[in-house]
Order: sequence, then structure tokens, then C-alpha cells
Amino acid sequence: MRNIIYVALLLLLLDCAADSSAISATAEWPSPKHDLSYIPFDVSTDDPAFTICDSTRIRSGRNRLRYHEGTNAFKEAVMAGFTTEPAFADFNGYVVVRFLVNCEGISGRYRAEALQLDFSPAKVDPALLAQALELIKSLNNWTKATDSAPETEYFKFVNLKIENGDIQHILL
Amino acid sequence: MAIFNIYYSSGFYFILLFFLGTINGLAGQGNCLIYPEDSGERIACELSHRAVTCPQGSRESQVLFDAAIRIGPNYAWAYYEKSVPFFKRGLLAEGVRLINKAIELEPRNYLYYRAYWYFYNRSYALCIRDLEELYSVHNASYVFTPSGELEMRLLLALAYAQTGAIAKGIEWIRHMMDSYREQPALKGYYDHFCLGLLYYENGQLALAQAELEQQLTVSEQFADTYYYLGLVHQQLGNPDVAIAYFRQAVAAFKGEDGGYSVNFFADFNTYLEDVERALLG
Repeated sequence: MRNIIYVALLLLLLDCAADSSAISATAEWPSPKHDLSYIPFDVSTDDPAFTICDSTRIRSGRNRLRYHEGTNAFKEAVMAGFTTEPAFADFNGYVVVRFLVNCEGISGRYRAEALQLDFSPAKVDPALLAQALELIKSLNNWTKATDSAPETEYFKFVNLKIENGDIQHILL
Repeated sequence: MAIFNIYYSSGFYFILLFFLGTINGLAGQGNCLIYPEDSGERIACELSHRAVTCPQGSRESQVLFDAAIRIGPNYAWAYYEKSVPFFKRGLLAEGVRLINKAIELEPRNYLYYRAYWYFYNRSYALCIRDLEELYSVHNASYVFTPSGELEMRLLLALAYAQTGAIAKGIEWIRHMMDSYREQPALKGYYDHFCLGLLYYENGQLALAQAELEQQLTVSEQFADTYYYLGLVHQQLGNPDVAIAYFRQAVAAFKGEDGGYSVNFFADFNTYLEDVERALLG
């Protein structure tokens, strides 16, 4: 009997037509219909208090989030905050940091990935990824471009082009 | 003729470029009926067309592309369309893995797309490699950026200039302009600007001035032209003329009289701060 109730509940949760707003808005319910922009919770790195209201409707697009002091200030802060290390010197490629800004305007679920110049995955010193991730994470005051729907959630990425271990370009 | 001029100045060429860009996409997409009934390609084609009716990047569209690729692994358009939302989200590794497959199947149709992302991510050497192959091996003619703003040969030229081979960039733009000398309707909105910019970068000031002045006959609203004309006159030793152009650039950047700028040129983009710095001089 308990199994039947469990399966019925599971089916109810996984029903594509179900209205997610009927479920408590403060919890993040897994949806099989989430958009490519969604970054799933990783228990080893993510803050459990950071939740996404609707993983099926996360907006992406370059100009939808603005750093509160402007793009130039953001770039200057990244340049000022980054310190190259001898172990990075051989690396030429990209470090892409991506994250989400949720319905409350808070950013979270930061991920960093290293790529070669042809965009294939690269192996780099883990300290480079860690530093890039922490740096972008520390610059977390993002303003949503729209006032009409402040609850809209966004995906954002910052692409750091690295030349000989140092930042050559900040693309966002 | 007067009507034609109105269309010309009001962005008729933009519309033309947009449609040419669309045709470029259609060439890869094809018509599902050309594939034998019940073949993998036919089903993949139909599934992919269903997928593009869903929001780009949605789970539904990705599942449909996956099904298309599984059933018709030689249908290139599915890989291309599936790659687009990955590139747009900075998920470049997955994006390039997919577009590489499309290029393997149909290089002439998809090389431009990988080159486009290499260009805007400042991977200029790889952009050059792909576009050289597109034009030299596959004999492509009129290929545009995905939104149709620029001819890919302009990107190739700018990429060459960024790697220090400015003369080679100039050669490509001149070659492109020669190819439509008999068909002026194909002329692009920013061709003279790009050529003028490269002449300036190469220190060929008189040629730069001539091209940039030509660009003004195409558009008087585009701010960057005034900025480069200012730089040219600064170098020619005409500071008063230079300042006048910089002031016009500032006005255009601020949107006066329909003025505007664009960010199609990657490291050659101009910003209001650049012009203000030049004015301080």
C-alpha cells in the first residue's frame, strides 16, 4: 500500500502538465522539463538555501543582467582581482564561469570550466579554476534588466580568455 | 529612383541581408521530402522541424533533436540546431562538439557558424582556418553571420588584421567588393567602413579617408565612421577637422539624429569612452 502511494505521489510530481505553482514556492522541485540554462544543485559545492523558483523558464541572453556598477567596472574589478601564478603560465584558452540569478535576485550555482582555444575541454591547474570562480562569485551584485517581471530568473556566463596564464579578454 | 534611395537609407539593405542569411540557413536545412520515405534522414528532418517550434534551449527541443540524431545520424541540420543554445549559453565545449559533427557532414554549410563563434570569442587563428577552408576549398560565395549583419569575408578580414596580417585582410575585402561590382545590390552596409578601418590600421591614410567618406554616403548615422575619420585626420595633421569629426561621433553615439553604434567588430568595436578620450587628446 505504501508503495502505491509513493508511486502515485511520484507520478503526480513528474506530471508535465502539473502546475508547479501549486507546490510550495520556497522549495526547488526537480523538473524533467528544465531548460538548458538550468544548473542542477550539487551538494558538494552549492548553498542549499539558494533555490530556483522555476527551472523550466530560466532566461539567458547577454544583456538581461547588468552589473550594478556597469560592465566596465566589472571588467576592471576582475582584472584587479586576478593574480596569475607560475603554474598557469602554459595555459592558453578560456575559463568560462556560469551561474544563475534566482527569483529573489540572488546569484548562485557557480560553475567554472576550462577550454582550449578550439573550445574543447582543457586540463588546467585547479587553482586557476578556483580563483576564477571565487572572483566572479565575489562580484555578485547583478541587476535585472526588466522591472516589469522582477521574479524572472536568469542564466549568466563570463568568459575569461587566458593568454599565457593571464586574463587577456573578459567577454560577457 | 527617389523611392529606391529612401529604402536604401532606411535599412532596405539590412532586410536584404536578413533574407540572404535566412536562405543560407535553409540551404543546410533542406526539404524533408528530398529524403526517401521512412529513411533516417527523413525522420530526423521532420523531428528537427518539430524541435524548432519549441523554445530554443527547452528540454522538449533538445529531446527532439536527440531523437533526430539517433534515428538519422547523418542529418547535419539537427546537430547544428542543437548546438545553437549551447553556444549562446557559453557551453562552448558541447556546442563545438555538435557543430564539429555538422561540419564533418556538410562543411560548406556549417563552417561559417563555428568561425562566427571563434571570431566573437577572439580565437582569431581558428576563425581564419575555418573561413579560409570555406572560401578556398568549398568555394562559398555570399555567406553571412547568423543574424545577417555582416558578410563572413569581413570577419575573415578583421580576424587577419587582429593577427597582424592587415594587408591580407585588406586583400579579402577588396576581393569581396570586386565580386559584387556588377551587382551593387549585394553591397553590405559596413563594407566601406571595414575597409577604411583596415587601411587606417595599416597606415594608408588617404585610402582610409576615401573609404570612410564612402561609408558616409551609405550611412550618416553610424558613429564609428566619424571616430575613424577623426583618427585619420589626427594622423594627417588636421587637428581641427579631427575634433569636428570626434564631436560628430559623440553626437551619433548619444543617438542624436538617429545616430547609433554596433558591436559587430569584436576588438575593433568603438565605445563612447574611446571617442571622449580622443577628444581629450
